[in-house]
Amino acid sequence: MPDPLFQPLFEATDAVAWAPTDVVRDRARLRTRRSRVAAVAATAVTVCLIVGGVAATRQPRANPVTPPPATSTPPPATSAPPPATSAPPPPTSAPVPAPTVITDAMFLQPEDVGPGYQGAPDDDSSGDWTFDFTTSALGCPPPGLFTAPTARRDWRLRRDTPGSEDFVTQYVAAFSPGDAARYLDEIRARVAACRAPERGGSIAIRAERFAGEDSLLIEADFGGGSMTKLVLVRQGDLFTEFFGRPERDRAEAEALGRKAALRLR
Amino acid sequence: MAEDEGFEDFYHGTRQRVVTFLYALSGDLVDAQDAAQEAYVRAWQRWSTISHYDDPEAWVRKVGYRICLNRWRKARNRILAYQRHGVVSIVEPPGEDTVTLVAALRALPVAERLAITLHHLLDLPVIDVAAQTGVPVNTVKTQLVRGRRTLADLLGREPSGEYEHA
Repeated sequence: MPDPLFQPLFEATDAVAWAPTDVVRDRARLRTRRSRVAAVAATAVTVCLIVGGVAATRQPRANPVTPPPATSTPPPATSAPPPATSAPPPPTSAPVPAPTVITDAMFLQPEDVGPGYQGAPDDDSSGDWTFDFTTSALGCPPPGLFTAPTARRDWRLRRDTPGSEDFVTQYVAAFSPGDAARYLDEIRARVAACRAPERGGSIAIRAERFAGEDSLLIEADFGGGSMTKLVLVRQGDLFTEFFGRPERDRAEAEALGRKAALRLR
Repeated sequence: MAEDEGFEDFYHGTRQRVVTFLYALSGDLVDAQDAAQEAYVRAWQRWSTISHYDDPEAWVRKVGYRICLNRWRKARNRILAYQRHGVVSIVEPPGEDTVTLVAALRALPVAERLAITLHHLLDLPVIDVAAQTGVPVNTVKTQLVRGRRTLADLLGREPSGEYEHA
């Protein structure tokens, strides 16, 4: 038996509200999935850097070498190092590969959101705000098989506002050709299948196709006045999702969705 | 066989001990709860391995403890909790005894606090405390003596017993 001296601590933790086991599982699966995506992206970046490094050692440079940007963006065609003379040119008929690298420029920028914001990668995001997490927290039916991205990055815009939270948190994901559209349709189906979440609350699509090639404005109500708006936008095979505090009204959320779509072009 | 067979029972059966341990160490119940919850998520990810350990709870405890030590993460989790649920009162405010005890524990050096909580709160034998903290048994005994003395000064009483399980 624990020492009686510590009994008050056990009494204090008696009322702790624990996440149901299903939510623990869902969060763990989400983390696992994201770790795999990150590993794939890291491999792709490594390959790019190695290939770039080989090319660089073969070709003398007239200009100083600039380090790759923090975003690991593949260099645009105009600034790419010339290929080694012994290497055959790439076939022009090759299919366009799916994007595997997410750049800083693909995210909402401070000027999109308002004065005083600063943006930074959110590499340690636990994703506890996303559509995936929200549906899991509400107890919506699990998705089963779902379309997965080839790369994903998280980003956060924040403004110091005393006494309140003031931020937009966002991720951008790249999919194989056609998969982003498929993923958004899966989200529609998952919302439709969640008419009566197990743990109460509600989730609904409030607006569609207001930004990019396709988009959704989703509202989730956790009960007790806790509401979340999620904006999801697809542009080609890129997909982004964001939410922020303080809560924006629907018109503002849609307007921000349009800005997010422009950043994906 | 389910991929996580036994996890649910483990989660239900150990979580209060884990969160109480983390609360005693961190002095902050919200932080302790966040850390414990996160530790169980990580445990689920590795359940096929952890479930074969002699003491899976020790693994969760250690992971939770590491999370608690990361103050940056603690601050961030608070923000995430706010994002997810708005301002929600998770538990009733602690009683006076709890506040006093937590304050007294926080007055202890981390190593003594760890030894005291593992031995007196979780009832682990000294030899297990030594194994889990990676310090010699005699050092653990010294930490327990010093920690108890400090708690006695601050609380007017101290944990009972003299290495009951040593």
